[in-house]
Amino acid sequence: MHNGWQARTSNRALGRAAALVIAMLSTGCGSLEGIQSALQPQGISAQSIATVWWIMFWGACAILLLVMVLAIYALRRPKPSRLGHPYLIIGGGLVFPIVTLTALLTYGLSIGHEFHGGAAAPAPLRIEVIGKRWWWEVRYRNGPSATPIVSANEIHLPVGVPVEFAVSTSDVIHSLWIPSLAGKIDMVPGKVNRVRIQADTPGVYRGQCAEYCGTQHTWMAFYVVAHTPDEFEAWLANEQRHARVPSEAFLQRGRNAFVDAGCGACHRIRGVEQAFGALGPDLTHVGSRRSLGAGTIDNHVGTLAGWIADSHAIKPGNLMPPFAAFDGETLRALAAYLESLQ
Amino acid sequence: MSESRPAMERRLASHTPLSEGEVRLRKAWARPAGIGILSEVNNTVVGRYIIVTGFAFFLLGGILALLIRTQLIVPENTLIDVELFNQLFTMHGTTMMFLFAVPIMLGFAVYLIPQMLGSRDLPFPRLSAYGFWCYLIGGLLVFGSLFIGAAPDSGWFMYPPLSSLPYSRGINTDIWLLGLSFVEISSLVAAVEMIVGILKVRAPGLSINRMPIFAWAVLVTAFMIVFAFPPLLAADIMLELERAFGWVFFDATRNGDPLLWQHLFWFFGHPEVYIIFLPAAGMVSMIVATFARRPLMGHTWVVMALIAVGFISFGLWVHHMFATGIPRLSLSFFSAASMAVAIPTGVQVFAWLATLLGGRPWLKPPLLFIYGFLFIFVLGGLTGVMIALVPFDWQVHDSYFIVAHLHYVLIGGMVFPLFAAFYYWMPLSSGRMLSERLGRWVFWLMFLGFNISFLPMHLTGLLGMPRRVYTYPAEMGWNTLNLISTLGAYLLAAGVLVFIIDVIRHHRSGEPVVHNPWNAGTLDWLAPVPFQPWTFFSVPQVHGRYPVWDQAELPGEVDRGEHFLADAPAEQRETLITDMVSAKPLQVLRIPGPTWLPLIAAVITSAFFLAAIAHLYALALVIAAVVLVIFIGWAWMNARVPPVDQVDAGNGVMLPLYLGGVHSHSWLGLFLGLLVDATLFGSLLFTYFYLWTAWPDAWPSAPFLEARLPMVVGLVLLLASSAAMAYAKRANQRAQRSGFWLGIITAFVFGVAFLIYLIPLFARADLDPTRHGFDASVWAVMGYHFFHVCIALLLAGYSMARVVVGHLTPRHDTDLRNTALFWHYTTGTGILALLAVFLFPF
Amino acid sequence: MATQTRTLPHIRLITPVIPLVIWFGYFSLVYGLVAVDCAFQVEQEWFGMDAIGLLNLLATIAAIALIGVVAGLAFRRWRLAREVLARGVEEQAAEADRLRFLALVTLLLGILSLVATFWIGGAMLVVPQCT
Repeated sequence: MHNGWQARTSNRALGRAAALVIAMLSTGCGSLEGIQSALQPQGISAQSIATVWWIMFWGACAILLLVMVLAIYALRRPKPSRLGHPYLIIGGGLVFPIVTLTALLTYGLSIGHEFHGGAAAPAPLRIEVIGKRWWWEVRYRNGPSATPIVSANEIHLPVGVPVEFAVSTSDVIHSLWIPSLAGKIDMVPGKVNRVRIQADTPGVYRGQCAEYCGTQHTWMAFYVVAHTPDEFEAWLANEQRHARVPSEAFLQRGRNAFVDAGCGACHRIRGVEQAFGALGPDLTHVGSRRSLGAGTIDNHVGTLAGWIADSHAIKPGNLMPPFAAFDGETLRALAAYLESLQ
Repeated sequence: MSESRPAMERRLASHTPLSEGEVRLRKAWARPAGIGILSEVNNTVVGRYIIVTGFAFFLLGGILALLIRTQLIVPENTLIDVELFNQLFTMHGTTMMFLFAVPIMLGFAVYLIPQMLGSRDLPFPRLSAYGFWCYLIGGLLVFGSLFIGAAPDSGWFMYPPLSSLPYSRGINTDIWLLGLSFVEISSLVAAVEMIVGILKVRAPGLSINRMPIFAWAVLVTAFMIVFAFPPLLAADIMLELERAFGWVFFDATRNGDPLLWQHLFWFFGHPEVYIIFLPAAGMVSMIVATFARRPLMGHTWVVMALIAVGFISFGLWVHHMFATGIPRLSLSFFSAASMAVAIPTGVQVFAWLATLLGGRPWLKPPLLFIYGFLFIFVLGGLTGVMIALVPFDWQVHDSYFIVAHLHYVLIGGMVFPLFAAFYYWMPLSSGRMLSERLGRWVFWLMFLGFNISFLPMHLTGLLGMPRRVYTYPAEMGWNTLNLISTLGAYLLAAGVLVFIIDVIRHHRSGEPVVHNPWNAGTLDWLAPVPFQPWTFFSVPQVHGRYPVWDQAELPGEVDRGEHFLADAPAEQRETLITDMVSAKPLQVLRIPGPTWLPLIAAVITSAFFLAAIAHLYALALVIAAVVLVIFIGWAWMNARVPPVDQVDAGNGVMLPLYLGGVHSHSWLGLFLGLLVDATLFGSLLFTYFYLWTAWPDAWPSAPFLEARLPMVVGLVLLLASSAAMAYAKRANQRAQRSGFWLGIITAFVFGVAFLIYLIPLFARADLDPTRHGFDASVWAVMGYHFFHVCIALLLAGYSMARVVVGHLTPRHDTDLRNTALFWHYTTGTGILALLAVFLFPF
Repeated sequence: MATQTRTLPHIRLITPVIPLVIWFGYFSLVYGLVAVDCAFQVEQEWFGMDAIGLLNLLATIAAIALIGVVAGLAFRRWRLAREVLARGVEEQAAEADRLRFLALVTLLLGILSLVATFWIGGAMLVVPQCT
């Protein structure tokens, strides 16, 4: 029968196609690693999720293979097969899914409780993250009554202990996601969501807003720095200090430019009286941060100057107006001053 | 082939010369010539309009997808700016979901269902035409906004507060909310049409257990639309009220809750996925049976699976909200339900496998697409089970893993079956075959292109790439994956292009066929192709699930006019109404022919939405009144007292032309319409209760609502008016004229008294809908009910007018029964509204 | 061949979805109870048990019982229809065939609803409320 011939060629083509796709995937993808990879877990939550992923991945491969083998076998035999029987529907469609899904559901329900603070012991450190269009305000609180230390766009935490994250938003819905450490949690207006995240290995990881939040959703990222406990204490102690008062004339010029241009209406620098604003990120230790514009570009004196002069060329649509009126020298001084705020 | 070519030609030739009955039949069903074809309401024409329009939107949505993929081909690309990109992905999702996937499946249903069920048309053809025009105009409006730079840009899910006025000042969001509400009307209209059509307008003998799977799939889908679309409509209305008039529903700063939108949206949005998939699954069952050359194995099981999926899909909505901070136990319920929905889907997959294994598969292009579907859809289903697991979803939610998953289930679950359907059913429309060789090219380009594009995205997501970003840094390890995805997308598009070439080519030089080229067994292949408007020269009596296989003589008998309705004595279009379960003939239904009314009504309806988008609310109200007048005029032409009681339906079977009351198709239609309405009302009540749980400490109570008297008076008036209406209906049945007038006027007076008493009370009460979510939801619930009382009064007036002119008699009382049904429904919702507003929380 | 006819039980078009309607009602109820519990931190106790937990438990038992009854009735009708068809009574074949079809759909939907109810009930045993 001519149909049979066509069936066989198509089967061969189907096989070749599958092989091609698999080959492309294995060569094209490279590694599973990365500073934002859920498959290179660095914390207990991400670890348990990666484990369940690999179990499900291999299970899914086996089921897909079974279905396709049956389907292709249907084309390849000369006469109707005994497999074509209602028992196949009962076994494959009812019994098998009920058994496997019951197991998977039980497993799924039993994991992930550490994320919502299942173990009731209070976490020693609480970090409040507030989503803003399009950056992150980060507040560190040692104990419930302590005044918070305000920072932005970078989260520092000690390894080996769960840290309580209390996340909220001051405008639209955002979502905090650090794939290397844990799953995501939304920041919803009118609510404070609490989760616990623990990093196990010191290092720098990247996170990003996962809920579409308008124009610059793309460049709403941040770095997470996981320290050893001692390093973390040292970092926190420094972060708590007011900004350094510059002694060099050049840096003083930058500081004056900051004050005169009214930057302080939006940005706070602790220790500078005229810098009290809350609309933009706190700049008290901006010089120590890894990135500018919430993970948009690296942070150094050059990018700082570029950002001040025209942040819209770097991050179109962001809410900071361009400050193109500075002359070159003043701009450099201002950038140098900000860079000195370590 | 079932029949040799010469035999078939002989059979067709036997039609000349035409009998007198056939001349009348042809005249009744003749299509208007020239531009008049736009006034045609017959399903073979309207169905094709919908399919062509849907496919055009598929191409437009596809172009947007290619632009998106081109922007993402390399990191930090500057080809498309961020504003445009945000409009592109919003419109890609919106177009594909609302303007392509749902309508085109309903288009196939409109086109195929009457033929498949052995009827000549749907019961409300003008309504389908109206739905189509609403869809076309609304679709052009929404998509056209891209060209004036005002396209919606808050994502196809439109989450407030991003879509609220403070963060979305332009008309972009208004276009989405109002334009799509307009398009949704067409889906709701088609859903009601389909349910009545499938339940009541089947060939004699096509009992419920013999109904083809595609009809089952469409039936379940239509019911899902009835329950899924109203919550979205309610949410659209509430968000528009918040944007336009400052009413608080979603604004957390004034005791609304943005999560309320997510609940309502996904209560629509998750069933929506199955609304798209189920008709496609129905197509798969039809095609698998034909190309396995044996009946579908596990027919009953597949029917069970379709119903189960339809139901359970309403218990899944929160699995789109796993990361919003809802208690873990609540999430677990939805996790369990999400797993439960995999079982019926597995049943279907194994029923198809068993059929293929138990048959002699014939790997023609339609089956090839089904094989592609199996691979892609099963893979998508498996990743679906993965993301039903709450912790895993926390990682991949809103990442490219989800982009991959949803395209696997939607393109695999719907687009591949759709292309199978094109290759399978195209001869019905054109009388020609699409090319088998090009079909294989189309398949392989699409299949490879699809997998190359979307398989890597699973990994891209796991490596941390979020959705809806217009670019990405170069050092994230996503570059190669994105490059591959983009190339795959081009390959997929090339496949679609070859398909378009094939369609154009086949209209000129495709191999002509006249009858059942695939040797299929169901009634859609009974008549010669291409379809004529009347489809069958006589409506067949059937005895099994696959009449063309089971009854070898059937095509000849039908073409010789030996079955039902071979004549059209009144030169009017007619079809048979049969019993919903046993399909015994009950009535000859005369259905309307060509009319411009649907097009005119749709154009004026669109004017209403345009005025609302332009914030011209006074004008919008005037237009709404005009629309109402048109619909009353439309209704006025219906359900007249027929000239004769009974007609010969063929073979000496005498059937009535009129069935009154609960047996009438219009009563069922209204009943379904009220289900839609009740779901919308339920969404408003849900809003009221939901906001209470969202603000347990800030739920105010209005002093006016603490007095019980208005509630008691309102309840008494409603119940009394319903009793009077019931009395009027009974009196009319007993031909007691004065009793009828007494009852209906009493009901009318009580209804008016209800409005006059309660509306000023609420207006004077200390309620300000712009102040608190409580006030706004009270106004929404009560306002909606007051509106219904007004409509009920209008219907009562309508019934009175019908009695006066003699269109409503003691025996022909459908209008009055429908009025009474609406009236009692209004009373019921009123009781719920009053009890909720006055008594809750206690 | 025996050709005696029996009156077949009537089965309505709506019957097959009854198990699913029960399931959906159950689902909405427990979802609503948990939502209210967590919104208001209900600490009511009945018979020494958490009130909401007790209500959830009762709802689960009631849902399983109701679905079980419907599925059981459907099973009996299905068996009856099969017997009638096996006897080959010509004039009842079409009716019995319809009965068999609707009863089997009801039975299968009942089984599925039971599984879904068990899973949700099981989740209540494993997962703590309001975390």
